[in-house]
Amino acid sequence: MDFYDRVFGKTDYRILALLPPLLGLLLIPLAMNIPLGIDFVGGTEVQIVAERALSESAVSGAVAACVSDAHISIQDLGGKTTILVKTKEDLTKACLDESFSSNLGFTDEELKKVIPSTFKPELGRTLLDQGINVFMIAVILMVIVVFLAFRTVIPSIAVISAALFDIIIALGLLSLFGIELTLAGVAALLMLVGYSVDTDIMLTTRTLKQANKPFDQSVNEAFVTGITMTGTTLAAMTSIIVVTSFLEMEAMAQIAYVLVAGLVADLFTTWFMNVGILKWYTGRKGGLAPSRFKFSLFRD
Amino acid sequence: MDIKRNWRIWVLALAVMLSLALVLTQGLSFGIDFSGGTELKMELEKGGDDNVGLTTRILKERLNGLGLKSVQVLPEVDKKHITIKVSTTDPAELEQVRNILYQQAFFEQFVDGDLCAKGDEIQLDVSRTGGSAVVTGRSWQVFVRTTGDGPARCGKAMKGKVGHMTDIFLDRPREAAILLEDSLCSELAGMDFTNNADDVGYTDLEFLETRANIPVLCFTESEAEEEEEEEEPRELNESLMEELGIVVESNETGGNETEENETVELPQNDQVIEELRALAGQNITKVILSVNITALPADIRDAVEELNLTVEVVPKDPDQPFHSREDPDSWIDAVTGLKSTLEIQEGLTYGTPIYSSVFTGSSESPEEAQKTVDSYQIWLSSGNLPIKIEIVLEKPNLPEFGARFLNMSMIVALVAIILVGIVIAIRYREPKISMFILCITLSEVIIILGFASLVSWELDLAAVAGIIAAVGTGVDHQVVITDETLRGERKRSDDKRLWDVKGAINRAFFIIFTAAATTVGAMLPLMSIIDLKGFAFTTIVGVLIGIMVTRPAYARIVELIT
Repeated sequence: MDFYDRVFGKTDYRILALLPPLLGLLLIPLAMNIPLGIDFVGGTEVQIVAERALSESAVSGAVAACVSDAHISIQDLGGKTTILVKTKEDLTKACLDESFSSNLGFTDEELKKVIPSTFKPELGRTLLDQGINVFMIAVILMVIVVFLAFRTVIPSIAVISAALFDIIIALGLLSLFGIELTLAGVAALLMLVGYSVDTDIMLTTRTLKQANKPFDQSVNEAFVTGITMTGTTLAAMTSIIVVTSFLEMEAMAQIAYVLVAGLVADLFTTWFMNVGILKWYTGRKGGLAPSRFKFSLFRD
Repeated sequence: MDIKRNWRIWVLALAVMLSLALVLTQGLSFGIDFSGGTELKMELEKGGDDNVGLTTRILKERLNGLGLKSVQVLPEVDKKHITIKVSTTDPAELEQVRNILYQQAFFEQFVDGDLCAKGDEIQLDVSRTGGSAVVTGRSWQVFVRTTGDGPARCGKAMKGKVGHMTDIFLDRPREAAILLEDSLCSELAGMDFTNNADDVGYTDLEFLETRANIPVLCFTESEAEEEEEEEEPRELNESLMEELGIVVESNETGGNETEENETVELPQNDQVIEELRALAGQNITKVILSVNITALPADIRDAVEELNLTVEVVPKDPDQPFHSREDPDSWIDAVTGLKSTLEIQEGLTYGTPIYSSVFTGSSESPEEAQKTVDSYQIWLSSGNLPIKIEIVLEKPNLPEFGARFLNMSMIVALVAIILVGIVIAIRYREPKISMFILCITLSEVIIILGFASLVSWELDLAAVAGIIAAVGTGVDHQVVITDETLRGERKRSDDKRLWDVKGAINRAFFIIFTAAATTVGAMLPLMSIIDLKGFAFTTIVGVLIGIMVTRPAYARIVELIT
């Protein structure tokens, strides 16, 4: 059960604790400049169903006649082909109709159903503002809940800053890999807050609420639990990334990317930074945890 | 099993069974992401509570009339946009939706068939202190002002008509005639029309022709098909000739001909055709039928086509009367756009211009009264929505894509659960624990779906992501419970010291409750973003089901197996 000690025990906990915030600070410029998807910056999306098989290159050629840069995904549904085109440029129906009928032989009947949806940049801006607002409120609510639960300043700050650094590092990593943030990503970031807080609350409770146990032993035990928690989620999310790399499904992939990046970050913020903060905190308190724990809603 | 001690497990089992039953009997409703449909975003010229509220109500009312499977009209938090989700991607139907969104409904108030006020001549009296609409108990009042030609026309129309009725129409067909078969006409003529307790003196037929100002033509059903077919070429020639001639001319000759012909036993339908011709020569561009055009006698059908009249079919349910006061969707209401009938009070009947008046009445209950007042506000504002709107986004989700999304979601869920199972199995090396964790996880999914089915929540992609999030936290919390309890167990055997399993579980629940509260806190604000509402909803429901049903049951199971 001393897994944590064996791996990280030789390094000074203060150095370990400084690594995640440093990484977070370094990634702030990247995180701030994360590329945004068309729902935030505007662009065009169009779903097309053709009643026959079409080759990828033919479709790409037909789309290229209208816009220079587009993301195209094609699925062959046995005799039918679904085509999804996304671009940040203006893609007009007139141009699509022209190109698809001359290049791919689309009939008028098929073309009737081709309706490009144009996301106006102002609309995206509004959505982004809404997203940011919602995010702020969510973080404030989270802060309130954590403070109410622990009623001690430093551990609460540790839990909250871990969540915030997770978000920053996740955004920074996505930005580094050039993955665009979409609305689903905002949802995923809040999911990440949930998962991040899960492990941090667990760690904090284990270390602070068991006064009769040495700090290091609590950390060792908490570490095994925490790794299992994060591990299950990471496994699930990695599986989504693998599945969606074969079967295009943008929203799911986005959620999975955000969570994988965020959960990897969470391993560091929780087990380097927060362990360090808590160790320093309990040390200052003379190794004795505050005994405020009186929580027993579930009594037989 | 001891029910008293293990009630939490029984609650879980019951919840799972109930949910399964719900899902199997009620089914799940899928949002347009999965089942196909179109999302439209409207932008209001000017935002604000009043504008967005009234516009939402008006659009909802208009779209519901379309008869689509599902229509959602959702105001956004910025109070400047409205998202509309309709369950169609058919280009023709979408065109209809667009028309309806941009359409300006037309308000008309009639007195015994005489126009009183129309369109924006009549408005809610918004300047009135105390509001333009007042509900006191079961009675309601709506204050209106009349402008333009309205006041004088209303004064004239109501002169000397104390106790008469005034009818309110929305989008009354102004250029249409009704074509019905004889038997239905006699039914119309035999029924007294009553749309108000004191409404007397008109039959349904008279109401249509006089008060709603819509001509009604009655045709006989073709008895002898062959005969008519024989007649057809002749009639076609005749009508072609008539078409070549001037309409007024054919009117005159037509009138004479029918009188002559009636005695010479030509079917009554010739007369109907003549009348139709005459009406088309005036301003009629549309005929309203109760049956499909193919069910019309051939000669009338030809005439309708030849005169280039558009056809609107309003099917009549043979078991329902043409009009009933209780049924706001009765045939006459649907055809004429009749919304309400009120009695004219003394004071309005001296023939002097009426600049302001009040619609008043009483309903069955205060709630009904409020509904009536809301409706009046909609009708009176329909001429012009409170604000100009523009479609800023139209995003069709084709069913072909939706079906694939649904399949893929299931594949993703399955693979994810299997992988989670593997991680749990590696960690605990105890098949019983892995099995229970997976079982509990599955029950959680089932209960969330059961709840969604219960409240008819439309599942969209976001909702599926929410289920994944909830399940993820669920597994995390079960790991916490397991570890807390197992550590207790180990301690007990190692130290021979009494270890408090309950204490361990209490600590586990402190972690779980705090984490759950944080997640709910983080999700609540998301409810305000329409595209993420489903995500927030399923996550919150999942977390709450977790802490109330599945987690306690799992804790008990762990206590039992250790």
